[in-house]
Amino acid sequence: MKRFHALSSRGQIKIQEMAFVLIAFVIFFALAGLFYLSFKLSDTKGEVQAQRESEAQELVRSISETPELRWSSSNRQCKGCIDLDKAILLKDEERRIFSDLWSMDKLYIEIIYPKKSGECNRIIYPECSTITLINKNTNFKLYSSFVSLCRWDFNLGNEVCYLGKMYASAKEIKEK
Amino acid sequence: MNKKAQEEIAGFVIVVVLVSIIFVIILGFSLNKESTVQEKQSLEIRHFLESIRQVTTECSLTGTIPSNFKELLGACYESSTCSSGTPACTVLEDSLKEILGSSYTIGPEAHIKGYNFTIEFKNSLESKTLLLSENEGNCSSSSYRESEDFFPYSNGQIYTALRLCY
Repeated sequence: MKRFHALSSRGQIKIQEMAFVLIAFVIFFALAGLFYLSFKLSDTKGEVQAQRESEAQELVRSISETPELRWSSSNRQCKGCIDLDKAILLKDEERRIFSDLWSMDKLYIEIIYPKKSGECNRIIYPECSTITLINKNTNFKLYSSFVSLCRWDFNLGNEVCYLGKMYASAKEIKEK
Repeated sequence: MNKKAQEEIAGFVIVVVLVSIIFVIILGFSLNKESTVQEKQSLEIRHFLESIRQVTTECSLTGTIPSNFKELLGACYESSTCSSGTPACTVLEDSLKEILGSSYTIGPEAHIKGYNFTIEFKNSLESKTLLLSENEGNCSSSSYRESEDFFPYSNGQIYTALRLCY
């Protein structure tokens, strides 16, 4: 009887040992898995963010393709080209209509090269750098995209193009 | 009994150490693979390359009408000169420096540490001719973004490529 008790107690200890080892393994693999998953998730989050940025940039650039702003050149294809003359007219005449049309909170064009400075108006145009089309007081993130800014130079009798950036912000862009 | 317990603990420690080593090796491989993800194609750079094509330069190839960047690239390949007598490739290089300088802030303290801009002519036989290579800052980092653009010219294509290093 005594021997039976001793054997039973040893068996219980063995079972306990096995249980502890199994628990330790489970905890170890769970921690390792969590560690690996957190790494993978942070990477995926970065990729999603980059994808969203690209989509926003594409959306901003697509504004330059609308008839209200597009540069129409008869002799060549011009991708992502904005007509600066149209832009300056829209700034003065149709700002409110323009704002309603695209539901934008901010929309402006900046001439990057050649270097110029100041907000454009009809008097100083084209010797200026920025044409603000919409400017509402909101805090949404600004997205930008490189564009070509073209206008007709009557002195040269030819088109002149600058390198520029179009900036836009809207609730819709943020939520995309 | 005591000796047996010690053996079991030693066995458990060995198993844990082995599993840890395998895990570290797998993680190392995984992180190494992720570092190459830093070499990304950039939509912003593609838009930049597409947009500079149209930019009017200071070089007039025919009379008084200034040529755009795309025409200047072709003229550089042909080793032509502008009506001012300056070689097209020189005007191209100067314009490019100004454009890149206006578009990006480069420096050791800036987000972008350096850039590498190349212009190549590739013909149908896949032979390459380097027309221009413009570098600034430090571009030795493995983290960069790049893109390229091309258009047909003569019997081949002219490629422009920009790499921004972070």
